[in-house]
Amino acid sequence: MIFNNYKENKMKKYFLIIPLFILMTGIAYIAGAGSNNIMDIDQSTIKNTSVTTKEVTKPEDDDCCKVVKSTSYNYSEMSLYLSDGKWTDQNGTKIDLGKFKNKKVVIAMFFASCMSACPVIVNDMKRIEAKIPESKLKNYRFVLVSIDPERDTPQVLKKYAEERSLSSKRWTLLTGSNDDVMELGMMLGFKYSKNENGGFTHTNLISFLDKKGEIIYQNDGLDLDMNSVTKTIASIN
Amino acid sequence: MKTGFFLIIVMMTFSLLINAQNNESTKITVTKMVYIKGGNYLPLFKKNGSTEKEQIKPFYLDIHAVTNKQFLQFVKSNPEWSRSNVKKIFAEQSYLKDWQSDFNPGGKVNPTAPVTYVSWFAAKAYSKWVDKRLPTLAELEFVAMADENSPGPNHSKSYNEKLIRWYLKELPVKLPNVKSTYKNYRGVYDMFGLIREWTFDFNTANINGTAICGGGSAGATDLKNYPAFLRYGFNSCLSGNSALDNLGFRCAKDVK
Repeated sequence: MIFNNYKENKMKKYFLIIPLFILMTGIAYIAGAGSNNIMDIDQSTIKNTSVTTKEVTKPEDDDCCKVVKSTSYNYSEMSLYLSDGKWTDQNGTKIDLGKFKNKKVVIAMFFASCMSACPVIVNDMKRIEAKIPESKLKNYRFVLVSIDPERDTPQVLKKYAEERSLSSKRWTLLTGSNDDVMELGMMLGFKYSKNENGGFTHTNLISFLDKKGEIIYQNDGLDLDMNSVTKTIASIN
Repeated sequence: MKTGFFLIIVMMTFSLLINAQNNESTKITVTKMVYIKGGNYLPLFKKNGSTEKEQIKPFYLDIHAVTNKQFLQFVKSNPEWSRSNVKKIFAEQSYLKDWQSDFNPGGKVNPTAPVTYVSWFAAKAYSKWVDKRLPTLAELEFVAMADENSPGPNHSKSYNEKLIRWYLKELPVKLPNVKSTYKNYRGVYDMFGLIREWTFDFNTANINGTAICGGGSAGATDLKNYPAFLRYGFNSCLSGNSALDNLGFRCAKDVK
C-alpha cells in the first residue's frame, strides 16, 4: 500500500510535466516556423539526387546595412575599374585593372591562337599607337585581354608580345579566370563564344578608356575608323 | 530531480528556437538543388552551320529561382548591391525598382516570388555569395527541354502551344510564389510560366547577329521551336546591366 501510494504520486507529477513540455515545445515550434526559411521543399521528390539544403550563418555585423564597404579607391559610376577581376600580365605579375587609373587606355579582347580577326585588331591598336604624338604616348596604355585562359598562359602572352614587338613599357597582355573574362566582356559589350574547333567566335571591339576607366569611344568591327580615333585622341582627358 | 531535468530540456529547446529566430536576418537560405545528369543537346543556333550536338556535363541546378526574400539577405550582407549604392555600370536605373526601399521589399512585392529587376552582374554576385554560379545558356536550355513527363525535346503540340501562350501573356502585377507553375521531368520548377532567367553567357547565343535581330530563322536547327526563338531573341536584346520586370535568375553548381 505504502509503495503504491508513492508510485501514484510520482505518476501524477509526470502527468503534469509531460503535457507542459509538449505544450511549450509546440508553442516554440509554431513561433519558430513562422519566421523560418521559405524553402519548404518536399523532400520526397528529389530525395536521391538532391544536394542537401544548408544554412550558413554569417557572423553578425552591426554595420552591415549602413556603411558601404570601403574600396581602396572611389571609382566613378561607369568605371571599368569597379570590377574586382584578378588578372596576370605577360610577366606573371598579378594586377587589377585599377592599376591603369590616371592613364588613357586602349583595350581589346583577343586570343593568341586566333589567326583571322585578332591579328587585325592588334595591328589596328599599333596603328592607333603610331597616331599618338610622342609627347602624349607616356600617358597611354595598350591592353589586350585574352578570352582563352586555358591556353594563353603568361608565357604564351609574353611570346606573343615579343613576336609582334609590343613593348611591355606600354603594352599589357592579361589572362584571368573565365568568370572575370566574361565579366569584363559584359562591361565592354564584347561577345564571344567557344566553337567546336577549340577557337572562338567573337566580336571585334577596340575601346578607349579615359583616366577614370570609363569608355569614351569604341570601334566596332574590323574597319578602323581613323577619323574618329584621331578625334578621340585629341579630346581624351 | 527529474522535474528539474525536464525543465532544463524545455528551456534549452526554447532558447535554441529563439536564437534561430534572431539570426534570421543574417542567414542565407540556400535553395535546394537537383542533380542534372547531363547529356546531349542541340542548340537552336549552331556556329558554322554544324548539326553536332553539344555535350552537357553533369551539374546541379536550383529547383526554383532566387526569391525576393533570399535576395534581401544578400543585399543586407552586401549593401553595395542595394538600390541606392549599386554602381550604374553594374545595374541600370530600374534595378530593384519594385522594392519599397534599399532593405525593404515592402508590401507590393511577394517575398516568396522570384526577385526580378536584377542585373546580370547582381545575379552573378549573388551566386558567388552562396558559393554557386549562374547556369550556362546550354545548361538551362537543356533542362528547359524537359516537359512534365519526358526529358524532351519532342513535345506534344499542346505543350508547345502552352509555352507560346505564356510568352505572349502579360506579366501579373504581383508575381506568384516560386514553385507555383509546374515541376518538370528533371525535378526543376517553373522553367516556363513564371519569369525569364539570366544565364552566365546569355549574350553568346548569336554573336554573328544574322538570325535573331532581323527576326529571321536562318541557321536555326528546329524551326518549330518558337519558345526557343523567343528566348534567343530576348537574350540578344539584353546587356549585363539590364534590370527588367520579368527577368530573374537561379543558380547552378559544378559537380566536384
